[in-house]
Amino acid sequence: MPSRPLVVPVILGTPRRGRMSAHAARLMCEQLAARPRVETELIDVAELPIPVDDAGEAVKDATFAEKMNRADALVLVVPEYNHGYPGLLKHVLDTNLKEYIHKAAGIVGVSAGVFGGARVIQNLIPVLRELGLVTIFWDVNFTSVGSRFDEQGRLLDESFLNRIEKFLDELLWMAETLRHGREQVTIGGSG
Amino acid sequence: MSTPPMRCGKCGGEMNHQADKLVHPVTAAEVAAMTPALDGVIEAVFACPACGWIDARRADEPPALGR
Repeated sequence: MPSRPLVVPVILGTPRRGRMSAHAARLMCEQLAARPRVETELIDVAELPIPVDDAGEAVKDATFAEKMNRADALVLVVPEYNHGYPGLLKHVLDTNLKEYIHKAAGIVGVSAGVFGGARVIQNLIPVLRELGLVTIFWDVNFTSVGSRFDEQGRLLDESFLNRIEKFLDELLWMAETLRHGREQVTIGGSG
Repeated sequence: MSTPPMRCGKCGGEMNHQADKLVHPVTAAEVAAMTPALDGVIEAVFACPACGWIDARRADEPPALGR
């Protein structure tokens, strides 16, 4: 069993005011924090001091980069805007590269309608792949998000908890397996 | 010719070469070295078995043919 806890931050992927995704992100943090040997924290893209007058690793923020370096997996909570992902999330993700390689990523889609972010998840997967992240086959889809949480952000439909449990089981399995690979398996060493 | 081992910037341990990632070129020399088959430059990515730290450097050698 690894001696270090798994580090799994949750990225809240939108700066939009009144965002319901914040409730989903806090819920994911709570569920992760309840797991043994897991460290988590909420990272809000709206609070990162990353300038927008340049792009990519040129505007890397040292604190965010160190958090990505320490991470074993990421949970991305992402609302669907015009079938795509929020531009600021892409801008933030693009500031790092080596920090993501061979680490697990799970996506929590959020939408006001019935698709639960299904289209943003499909659009985000190729981006994560190019960044070197390994996406899992479980998603969480918060359909009709306006009716899933009360005004204090409490989950109103506990049926989501079972889905989150399956999502996190898979994510943490991948995180642990990929950590072993990163640290113990040399590329090209088996050919 | 083997490349020297990568040392962890956090704990000093020897790092594991865990990935070769194709990335966009930065310098003019890297742009000039690009080929139609290798549309970018290779960055060797390392992880520290002791503390988990990640680091990277440009690969010194192109990948061997047939790999």
